[in-house]
Amino acid sequence: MNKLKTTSREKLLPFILGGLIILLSVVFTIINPAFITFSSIHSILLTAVPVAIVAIGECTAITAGYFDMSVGLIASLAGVFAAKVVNATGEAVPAVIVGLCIGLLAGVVNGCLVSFLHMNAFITTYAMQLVYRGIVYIITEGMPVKMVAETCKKYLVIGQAKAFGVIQIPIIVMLCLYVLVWLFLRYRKLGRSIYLVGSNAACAHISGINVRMVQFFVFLLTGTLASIAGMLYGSRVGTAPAFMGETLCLEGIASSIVGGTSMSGGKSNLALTFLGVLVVYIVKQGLVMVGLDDAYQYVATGLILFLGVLFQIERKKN
Amino acid sequence: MSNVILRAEHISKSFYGNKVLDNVELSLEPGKVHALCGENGAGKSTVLKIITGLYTKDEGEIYLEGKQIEVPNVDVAKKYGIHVVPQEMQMLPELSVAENIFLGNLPRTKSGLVDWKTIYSKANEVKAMLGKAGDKIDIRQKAGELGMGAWQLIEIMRAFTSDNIKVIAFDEPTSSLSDNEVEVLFDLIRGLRAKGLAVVYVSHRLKEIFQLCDQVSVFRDGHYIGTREVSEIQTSDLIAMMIGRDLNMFGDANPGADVQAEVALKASNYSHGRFYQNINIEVHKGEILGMYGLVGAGRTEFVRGLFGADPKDSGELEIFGKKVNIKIPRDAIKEGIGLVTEDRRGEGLMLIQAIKWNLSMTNFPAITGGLGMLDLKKEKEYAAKGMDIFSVKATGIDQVAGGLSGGNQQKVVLAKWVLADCQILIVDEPTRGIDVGAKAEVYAALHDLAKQGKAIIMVSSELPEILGVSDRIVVMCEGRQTAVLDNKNLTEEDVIQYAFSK
Amino acid sequence: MTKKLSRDARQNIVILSVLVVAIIIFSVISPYFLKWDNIVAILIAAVPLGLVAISESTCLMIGGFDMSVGYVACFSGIIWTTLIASSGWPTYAALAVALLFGLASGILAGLSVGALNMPPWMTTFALMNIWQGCVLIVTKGEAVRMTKFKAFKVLGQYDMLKTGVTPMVLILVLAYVIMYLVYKFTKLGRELYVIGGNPEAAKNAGINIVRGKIFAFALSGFLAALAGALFASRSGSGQPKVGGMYAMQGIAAATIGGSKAGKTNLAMTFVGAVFIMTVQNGLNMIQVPAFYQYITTGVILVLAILVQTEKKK
Repeated sequence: MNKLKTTSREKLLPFILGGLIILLSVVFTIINPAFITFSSIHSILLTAVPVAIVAIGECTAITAGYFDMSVGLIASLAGVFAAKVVNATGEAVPAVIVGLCIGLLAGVVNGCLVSFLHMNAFITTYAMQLVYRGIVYIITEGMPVKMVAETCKKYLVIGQAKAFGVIQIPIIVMLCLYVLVWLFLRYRKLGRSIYLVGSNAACAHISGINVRMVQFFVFLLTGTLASIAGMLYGSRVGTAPAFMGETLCLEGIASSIVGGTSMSGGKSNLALTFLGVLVVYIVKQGLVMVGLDDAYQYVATGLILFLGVLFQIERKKN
Repeated sequence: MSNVILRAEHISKSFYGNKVLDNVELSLEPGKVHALCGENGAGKSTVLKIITGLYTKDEGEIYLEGKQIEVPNVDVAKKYGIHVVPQEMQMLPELSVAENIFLGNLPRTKSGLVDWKTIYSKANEVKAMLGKAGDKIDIRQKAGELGMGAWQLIEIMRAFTSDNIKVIAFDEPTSSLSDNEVEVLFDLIRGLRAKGLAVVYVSHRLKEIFQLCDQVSVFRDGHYIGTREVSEIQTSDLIAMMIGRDLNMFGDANPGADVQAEVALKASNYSHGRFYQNINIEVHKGEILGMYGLVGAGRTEFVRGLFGADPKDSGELEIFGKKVNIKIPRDAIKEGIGLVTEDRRGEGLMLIQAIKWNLSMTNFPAITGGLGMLDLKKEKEYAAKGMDIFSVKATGIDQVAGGLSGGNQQKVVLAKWVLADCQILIVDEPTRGIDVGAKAEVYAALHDLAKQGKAIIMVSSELPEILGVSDRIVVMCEGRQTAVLDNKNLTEEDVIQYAFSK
Repeated sequence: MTKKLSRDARQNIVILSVLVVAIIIFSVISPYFLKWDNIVAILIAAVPLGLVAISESTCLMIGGFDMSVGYVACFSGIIWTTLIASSGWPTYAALAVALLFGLASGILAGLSVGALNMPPWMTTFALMNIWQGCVLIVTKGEAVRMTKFKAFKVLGQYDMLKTGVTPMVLILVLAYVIMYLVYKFTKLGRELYVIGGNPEAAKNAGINIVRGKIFAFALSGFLAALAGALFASRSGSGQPKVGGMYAMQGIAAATIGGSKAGKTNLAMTFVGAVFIMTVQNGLNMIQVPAFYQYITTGVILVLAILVQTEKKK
């Protein structure tokens, strides 16, 4: 009976999320007709980019049976490092490479601790987040790193230019990443292995899958994606904030959970995770529209996560 | 029959739709040690668990002193005076012996606080009831500092804390004890008998039954066979009651016919700690090598060591004459070995995933197309082929594996290795928890594979299955290899004698 | 068999020696470090963490942890100060409301985890963010000024017998004593060990697991609220940014103290809290910038977990 219930819940989810998005959009459009305009939608998507990218990583990690709580600070770290390099050189390529390497390196550290030393992923990545935070402080002394428009043009153009004069590049990058990772999860052995390890690591091991390498790889992926998120944000707003990461992790996880990614691993759908991001961001945008400030967004996102978890769990027997 | 204290009638129980107990009965008398006896899977432990509240029955009645009772859990059973020393002992290693004894029922003072003084004094009283056996235990010690023997004593002391104790049941109590500890335990059980308790005793060791017990009930395939006074029977009578199943379903009239000369796998001097020592086996192409023994004989540990699923201390392996070194399952798969594990739901299948994923995960190259991408169309064909090999009954390759019956699940597991082109297949308890019809299909599948020249190692605790399917039989007992037999005109007695320790 | 005992003892000896070595190093570098004033300062600074460490120790014991303690503490401080400063409530009535909030948050977490079977980390993580938002909504990120309110500062600032020791230290000691007694002498306290150590055994022994879990999280929330209130009283204001590190530091302290499912040691948990505050104070003393605390806390926590992580086969 339980099994039946979960499957029907799974099947309903796309409709629930779609319905929710439409409902929220209708409500907000009634409140403010400007909500449904192209520029409004474009701006929602643009602000959602970092979280949407981080959510790809969280979705993958949760599929493999883990949480990565350090993504927010990895994003900050990469954004700040890249900004420093741009300020020094004026070149975009070395900055992006440095940023990516930071994400990769953080992923290596997280991955080693969790998959090779068998430490609890949640708490370990949360602890590592503190370390990354300390490093950000040391580099920036808590101040955002500004990038001067003239000298840093090559880097800022990534975040600010519009493709075909319509859509800003970060949105395109984000959509490309969704497609790429979706293809990767569906069509690569390693991608499939992430599902298998998350479903039943013991069975995967017996069937010849290198479980530890798969787990390790997942942390590389979340780290790298987080660094991309951080850099895109920095280059869009022209400043690498010291702590953009405060809410990134929460929103990334909330989007993923609301998008039906199973907390017990092995089941996820990247497309639904994207719908999850939309839900979170439309709610955010709506709160702004009705004049509620950032503070309410913590509460709203926290509630969304709580409800997402509640929706997913199976009732205990008896 | 007026002397019966506990009587269970018409007891039936199923797991995952598979009947493990069918209309069995049991009568216990005070002041008697009553053995439950039978092969693995005969249902003796299940009977014990049902009367002590560890499992709930599906059907049947239990009478205590003539009154019908229900025992939905251990707690209620204890209140009726029915206590159990389970095989999986429930210890809190970080807590003291005394507290472990009173678990969930700590004596309290009038003000409602935990009364440590009483706990320790009562625990000492209870320990005194053990007599000499309790000498080595300090009730203030942490349970984690003590061995299995002491844990068993703690479980017994738990029963003693109750002022109502009529029945006490032991489930394989000696399986992890040293000889000294066994002696201590036996003395204790004799003491309980002298006090007029009804003792239930489940063990694989026949000699223990003759040493200790007064009565014995025999079960076979979940059926009740009969009860005898131990003083009136011989070992051979007991074995005769345990065996004697119908062999028609195995379908191979001519063992050894498919065996080829080439040796597929040769393992020498395999040892791992106390689990198994110095095992040597050889399997030919086209041969089914049965490995028989009782639970705990070390067969599963050995084949897992072969496959690299568990570590081993030593041992050399040759595959088709080539020396190989297998440390992890991936090495074994590269050498063309597959393992169908004993724990199908835990290790054999991804229950939440579709059949096609379960089938393809051992052989990614076969479903990989251009650019190293998985070819999902190829995967579909691959999976469909896998379903056909053993005619898996399912709604399709997209059905979730957890929704299949036990037999079809097992066929999927077999198919995933066959598809991966394994030349050597190790199957551990291949028919556990699946119904009779599906069993026959699994046997047919194994014969089929042997005909194709595959080498098969089949671990089984079911004697008829071993005799009905194997070409040769290796018997293990307590970690040692006790016999290698050609399956020609063998009877169950011929094999089983090597499985019991002497 | 005796190995196990010595392993615990060994770990404790190592932790105590590391603490002593740290103290020696800091006192060599800065002669001020071992002065009475500084020792008292460390002790006072360790009070909120010490309380939160009990929270985490309790939650770890039943096999979870509580991510929400930091912002429960923070919001509790804000509730207390805001009710006094903005709504004119009497000091202790307002305090009671703050503590009740902590209790309620804990019960909510306990119900979700115990009765609804939600995973503790995600549930308390969600709660943590909700309370963080509430803090920002109420304060707009500004500290609540309390300069006018004397009674409010008694717990954190009243100098008892000219020693520099304030009542909050007594409260901490009291909390540890009471919790020791609860763990040792109440049925519920003993049951917590069983619930975390062997849930199957707990079920068979007829122990109410749901009740135990609710109790553990309720306690955790209450103590966190107390920690936040005491911090506010000491700092003389309601701080909207305190508490971000409490959960991690608390888990670190409890883990250093050897707490895990089915096991806890309050004395060593306290040592863990003192250890973390000593390192922090020592680093301040030798003028290491405050933000290095993040790194030290992170590293200490990773090391503590690493030591407690059982080797897999």
